[in-house]
Amino acid sequence: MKTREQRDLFPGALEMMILKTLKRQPLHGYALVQQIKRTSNDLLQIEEGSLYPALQRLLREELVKAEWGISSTNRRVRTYKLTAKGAKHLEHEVSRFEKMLEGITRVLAPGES
Amino acid sequence: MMWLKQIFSRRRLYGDLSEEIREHLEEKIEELVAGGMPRKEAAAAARREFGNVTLTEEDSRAVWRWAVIEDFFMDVRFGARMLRKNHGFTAIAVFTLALGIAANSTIFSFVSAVMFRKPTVSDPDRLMVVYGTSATQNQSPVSAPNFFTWKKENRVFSDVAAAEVYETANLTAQGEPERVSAMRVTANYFSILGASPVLGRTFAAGEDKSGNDHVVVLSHELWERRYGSDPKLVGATVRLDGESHTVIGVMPASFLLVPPYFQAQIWRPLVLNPAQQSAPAREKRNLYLFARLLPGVSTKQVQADIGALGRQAAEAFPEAEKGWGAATLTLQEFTIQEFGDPVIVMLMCAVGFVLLIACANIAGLLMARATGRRKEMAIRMAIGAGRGRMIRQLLTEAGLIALLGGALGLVLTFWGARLLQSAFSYNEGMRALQERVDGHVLLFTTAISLLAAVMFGLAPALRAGTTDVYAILKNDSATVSAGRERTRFRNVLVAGEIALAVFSLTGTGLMIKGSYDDFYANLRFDPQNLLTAQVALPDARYGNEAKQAAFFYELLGKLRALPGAESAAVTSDLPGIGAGTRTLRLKGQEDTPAGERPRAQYYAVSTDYLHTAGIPLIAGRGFTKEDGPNAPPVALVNEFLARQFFPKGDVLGKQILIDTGNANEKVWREIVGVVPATCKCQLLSLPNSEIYEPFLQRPASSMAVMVRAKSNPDSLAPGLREAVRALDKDQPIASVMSMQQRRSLELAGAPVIQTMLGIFAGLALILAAVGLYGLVAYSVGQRSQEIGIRMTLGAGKEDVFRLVLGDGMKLALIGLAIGLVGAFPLPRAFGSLFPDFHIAGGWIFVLVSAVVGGVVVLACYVPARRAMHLDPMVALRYE
Repeated sequence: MKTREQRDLFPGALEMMILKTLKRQPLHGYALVQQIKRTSNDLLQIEEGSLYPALQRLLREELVKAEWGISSTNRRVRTYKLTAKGAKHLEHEVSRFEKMLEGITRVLAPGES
Repeated sequence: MMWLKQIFSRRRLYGDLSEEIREHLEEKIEELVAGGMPRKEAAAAARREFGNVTLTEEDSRAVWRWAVIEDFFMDVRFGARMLRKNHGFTAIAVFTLALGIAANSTIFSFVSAVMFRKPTVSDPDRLMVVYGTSATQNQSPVSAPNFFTWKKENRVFSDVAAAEVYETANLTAQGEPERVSAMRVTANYFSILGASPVLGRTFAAGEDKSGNDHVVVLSHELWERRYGSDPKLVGATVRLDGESHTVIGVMPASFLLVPPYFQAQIWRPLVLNPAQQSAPAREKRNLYLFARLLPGVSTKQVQADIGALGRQAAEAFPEAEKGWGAATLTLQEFTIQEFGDPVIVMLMCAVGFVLLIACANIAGLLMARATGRRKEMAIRMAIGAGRGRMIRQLLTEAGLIALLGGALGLVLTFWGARLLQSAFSYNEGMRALQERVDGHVLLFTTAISLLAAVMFGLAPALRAGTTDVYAILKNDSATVSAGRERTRFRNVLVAGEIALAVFSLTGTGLMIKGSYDDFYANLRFDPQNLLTAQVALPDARYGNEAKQAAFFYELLGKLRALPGAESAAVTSDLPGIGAGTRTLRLKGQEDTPAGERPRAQYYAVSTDYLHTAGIPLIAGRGFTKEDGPNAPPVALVNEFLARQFFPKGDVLGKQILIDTGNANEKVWREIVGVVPATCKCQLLSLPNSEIYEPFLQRPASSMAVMVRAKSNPDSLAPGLREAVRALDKDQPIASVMSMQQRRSLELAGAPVIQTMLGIFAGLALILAAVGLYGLVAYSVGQRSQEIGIRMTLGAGKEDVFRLVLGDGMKLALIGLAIGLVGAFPLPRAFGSLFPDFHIAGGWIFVLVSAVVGGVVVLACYVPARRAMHLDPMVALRYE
């Protein structure tokens, strides 16, 4: 179970990033990984494969939906799209995360109190 | 229902996933190749970047799995594989269980037929039976005056019919004379039941008036058997008791009522004339009432209303009715109450023991096998299987055995129910029960299969759950003889199984002994070499008592003269099969209300009766020719009655009054002799008291004839038939057979039940012996290695033998002690369960102990011998 700790900062982080990325535009798996890597400035060294279980979880919860199609590079791809439910979930998760981050930041902030 | 959709669309889901991942890798590779990397390197890099493909796919799929269910199916698959691998073990376990389950389900098919099957009448839940109750009688018929009053005054029934049951008639012409059960019913009987004929019609209003009543309805069985299903029979005449009756209808084959005495072969109108409403008629209780509930009336209301009518009768006519009440139940409830006797409980107990032994056997086998499988278990736990998972796995295996056993048991039950049906077909009424595998039996079978699975699966499973991985792995590989903990467990197992076998076998044995005693032992007359028959004189020809007495007197003269006959007698009822009962009063004792008077089996017997039946005289004298119609009235009583009412032994010369059903007739009789109680047939639910009147002082038209033969009674049968024909060629003679045959016919329930109890006991014994042998032999076999070492080190064969046998006997003694202590209170427990049923038999404890001990010795001896003859080197390499 070592790999899980590596690939996930905290439970749900990866899901949140996927949702956020998909909110901007629907993407297929490979593009999604590249996008996340790129936007995080390669900070997150995630294994590309670890994306798929997370996507399956999101599919099961109906936060995203998937459709087979042809990409711009003329390749058969499965494109994921945020659902309304997914958008709402993302909002909720983000605000929760922000609160938590705020709390952590305060604790870590030097000198105060 | 999303999960359901998911389960079905999963194959597609998984396909999508694989394809997607493949495409992902392809895209990556292409990108890398485009960036100038050689294809082979690119493929490796892509895979490295991606991570473990298989694991990713597995993890992704896991998201969709419904873990509990799928683990379960996995357990089932694994369990099935284990059972297939050990097919010997599986076969034994499944077959053992199937036998136990089949025994239970077969008996339950009888219970189901009684308890759950609706009577074949329309709207059975609103058809009530009204009956009388008293301190000594529960489901008694009621009198005609009460029928009329209650029919008029109740506010809960739309209509009430009366039926006179237990009646028989002579059917003559068109074939052999035959005695048939002939129920008399009021004209509205069939319409109240809501039963229609298959042919012709049922009774019309007014046909139950004198003069119109020579019409009959036939049962399907009689119509088919005697008249070859002749459709022209309707409108034809038959001769019943010497009089012509017109057949007006035939009932369908499905018209079968239980309890048995509600079933008839012929129905004829019940004529109740005003004279029968007079006060003396109140003591003649011979009618069961069938009534249809008014719409909207509840069970509570009807109970209250009928109860009140009963109390009013008791207040208005205290002399005849005091102590009597009235009650009502639906026909189905009435039947259940009628059958709610100890026999069913007893049979269920007996088969319960069989199942218990079967479960113990399988538990033993599983535990023994679990010992062999401990290493496997330990390894599985060591590589990460959870405890709960292990327990679940073992329980699933037990469940599989139970399932297979239940299925096979059900197949056997189909056969068993058919067997039971044919065994219980000794009369019309019992045939009506129709034991078969119905929904309730299915449900019951499933339930006991599951229960069995828990019983034999739980202990081994829980035990496996407490496995100490480290200890086992170490213990098994490091030592040659079994570790101490393992030995102790094995010993507990063997002792426990012995204890259970002793307990169950003792229970079954006591059951059989009790029922056997009740029917066969305790007979105080001689049933050997007795020929019996029934002769019922029709009223048309033998209307008065003088003619009846004359006929039988002449017949007895002819019978005595038969070559090979020793003596002959007539009696109103044969001994040892349950006689009709009468209430009685004793002079000098407090006069009790009619409903609370003591009751005794009643016999009117000819002078030679005691001698012919082989009943010894205890005190006083028997009846003689002098006890004629004009001589002082006399009676005999049995020892039981004498002891109960005259404990000082001064019964001779006391006065007794036997109620005849005619309140006007009050004849005090002198008790002139005491005889033993002819049988203690308590399962017949009859009083132990017996009373006798001289036939000449109370002649009757229907008598049983008895001839004592010097040797084989059957050789006298032609002579008996000839003697009757010589006196009256139209007179039918029924049931010509030996007393032994008659008893097994009349008490058919008893031999059948005994046979069944015997089969179950045999089954229990075989199962226990096989199970015990297997377990002990297995645990001795496990010591082969140890025995090998002992012999290598110089132990003699006798030493080893003594060691193994000694260990075995020690366990046997412990098991026996526990089992016997457990079984010790059984006789008392059965006694309180079946109050009328006397169970004793210390020798059963001894017998069971001997058998169980013998099995254990054998089970120690055979494998020990084999181990001793084994080459020590082979034994050492064993495992």
